[in-house]
Amino acid sequence: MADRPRVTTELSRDLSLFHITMMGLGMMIGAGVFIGIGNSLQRAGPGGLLLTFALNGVIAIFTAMSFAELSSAIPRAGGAYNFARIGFGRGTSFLAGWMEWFASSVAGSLYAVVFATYVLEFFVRLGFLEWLPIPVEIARKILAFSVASVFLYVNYRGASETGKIGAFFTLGQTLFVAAIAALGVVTAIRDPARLQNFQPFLPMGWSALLVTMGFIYVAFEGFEVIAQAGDEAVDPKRNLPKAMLYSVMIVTLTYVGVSFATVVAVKAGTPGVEGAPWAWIGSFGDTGFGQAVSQLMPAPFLGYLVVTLAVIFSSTSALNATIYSATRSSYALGRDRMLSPAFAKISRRRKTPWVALLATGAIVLTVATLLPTTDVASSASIMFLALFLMVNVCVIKIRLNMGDELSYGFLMPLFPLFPVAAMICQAVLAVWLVHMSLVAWIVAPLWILGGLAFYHLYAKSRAVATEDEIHVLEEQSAGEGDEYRIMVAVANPENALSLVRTTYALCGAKEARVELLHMVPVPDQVPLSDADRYMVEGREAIAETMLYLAPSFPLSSTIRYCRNVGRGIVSAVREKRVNLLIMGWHGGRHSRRFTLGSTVDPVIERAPCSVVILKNVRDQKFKHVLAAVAGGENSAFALEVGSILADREEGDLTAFTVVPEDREAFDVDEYVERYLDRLVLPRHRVRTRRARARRIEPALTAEIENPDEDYDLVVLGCTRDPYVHRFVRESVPERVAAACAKPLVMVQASGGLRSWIKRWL
Amino acid sequence: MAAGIIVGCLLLVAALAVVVGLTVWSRQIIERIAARKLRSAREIVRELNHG
Repeated sequence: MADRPRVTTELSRDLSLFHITMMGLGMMIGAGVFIGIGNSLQRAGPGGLLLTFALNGVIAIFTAMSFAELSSAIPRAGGAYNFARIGFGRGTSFLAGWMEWFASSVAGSLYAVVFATYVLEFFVRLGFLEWLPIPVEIARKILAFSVASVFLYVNYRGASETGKIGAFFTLGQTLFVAAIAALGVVTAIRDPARLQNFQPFLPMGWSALLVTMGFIYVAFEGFEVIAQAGDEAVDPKRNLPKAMLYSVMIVTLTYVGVSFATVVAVKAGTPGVEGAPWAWIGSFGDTGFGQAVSQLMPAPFLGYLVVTLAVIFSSTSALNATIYSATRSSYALGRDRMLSPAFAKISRRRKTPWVALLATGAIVLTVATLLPTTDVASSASIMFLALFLMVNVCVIKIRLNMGDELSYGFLMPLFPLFPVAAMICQAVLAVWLVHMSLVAWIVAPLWILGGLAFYHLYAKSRAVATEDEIHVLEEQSAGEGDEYRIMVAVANPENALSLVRTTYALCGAKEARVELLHMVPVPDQVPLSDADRYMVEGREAIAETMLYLAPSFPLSSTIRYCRNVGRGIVSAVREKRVNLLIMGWHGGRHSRRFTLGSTVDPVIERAPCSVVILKNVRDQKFKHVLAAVAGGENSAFALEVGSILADREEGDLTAFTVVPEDREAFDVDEYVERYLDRLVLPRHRVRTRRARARRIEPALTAEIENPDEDYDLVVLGCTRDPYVHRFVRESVPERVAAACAKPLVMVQASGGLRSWIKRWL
Repeated sequence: MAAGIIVGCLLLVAALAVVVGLTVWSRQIIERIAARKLRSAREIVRELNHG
């Protein structure tokens, strides 16, 4: 019987840079800015209002750069959820998606209520609603329900319609807000005396600024919705990061312009205006913005009309964007089986995730009509701040762990300055929200705890593996213990045998437990379910090594498959809390991008343990061992390893140093004496030699090749250059190692702050 | 009081300059990465640093 043709559905890719920029703008220029201006004036004064928006813009652009970098490398629907999954794994990513789904849905219901409130208020002022047979409060709920339903249907119509209709509304709202800002500038030019309204600039002092920044931050959450369009955007690697950065820049300039217009809108001494104009505007609180703008217009009616139209445009476009964002979050959870697979069902006709949309709609409509929204919206803000903080951690971790594997469309400069600065600021603002709403700090943890329970009871066992994960195929454990752990990364039978003697010597010296590890690299094109066929060599290599080592040392062995060997080894080292990693190096490199090779470089840079790398080291006795020293922990470890590997009966160890001509002499004798207790050779078989030269590399190479000394093993410490420095240029030890034809060992010692950071990352 | 206005205005201008400057700088990076067909972080950092 012939196979039935498979019908596959996917999201349509038809959102341009303009559409996704407008999507981000639409979600940001929501109700927050209109409600926030009056309150901020009241609390921080006229200068504080401008600074509040400008400084929040700086924090937002820092976080937008993190989102931009990650979404350019991982342009898939899911946004923060995907980033957390790749950065931290399933549990954290489920929480990220769970929080984003809830926060966006609740924000959507808030915008629906704001829309209904302002529209009804306008008609009530005109006296048009006196005929209503029901209370205004019920009418408000019905209107909120109706407008939310309309935009749920718009989202069902498809990505293109969602983006295009949203873009239309957003363009309208941005033009309204920009027109108000321009009117304010014209007014100030025609009547410069109004600039006196900025006196005093910060009447409540600088401390009030932090309070208003926390309050207003809600107006800057929205650019993250752009990350959700990864599956639907045209040229996502370029357009997603651009759209995020453009939207934050436009919104910051617009907010500052509107704030300026609000302050200069009221002329001091105008009848009805008591006290300073900024204090008078601030006294209206939520409606302060409307009161001020109405003063800019020739007639109050026109002012109210403009404000109402601006709110209609802004709240509807924000509602549209939040429904879109929440739907894509739950779609991604369903796609990876964290929620029911039904959430990933896509309408064949509309190509939209209709089940995810239906579930999101249920939350939006329920909250909009039944629940008090203010406190729940505050808890949504806490979750957004937590999400942003998580994304800023993710961008650091993913760059360090997977920078060689991902294909980036944007890479933030001065890494990791911006994400670290953003994390600090977001933590401060999140803590401040405790003073804003105590209920929010009860609701948010409850939702998170509910999510954790759901994950452990349902999602954990059903979640599908992603291609980025590393899986254990076989594992034999020799039991747990606190002893020194050595891991040997075994690649193939030949490699295994050459590693055995070195491992044997180091195990004896350290009284260690040995972990054998074989990583099975599986090409991207091969499904992970077919990885077994790549295991043959690994089994053989591990069996041979166990045969040799098992009688003398407690052994564990693991075979894992992965997409990248270097990352897989670092992951195993971290999980098993290994103290020393031993691995072989073939001595060449396939790409100029790497110093020692695509596997060795990442391991040296990231492994949170001591590392010993062997090149051309075969089963032989080493009689003359050279250890290059230059001070520091790596040199001491080189001496120690050199003394262990030197033949116990006849071997000797030479500590050699090169002193550049322009520097003071390094006392190598004193250095050897200091670390003598770590050497297994007696003192009389440890020699010291020094050379003075203009450049280190040629002098070291000449000593290695010195026919009089006849070294049969060279031990070098890896460079201690900073991580970023190594990205830019190769260092001396690595260059010498690459050129050396003799048996060579490169070592890197762990310990101190650097190792702690590596382990944490 | 005048000092407060001066510091405040400087801070305001600096903040807006940071927002606009980072946006423009980032756009240049995006275009350079696309034009040179760069991929990994290591490759991009090395190329961008060597101008």
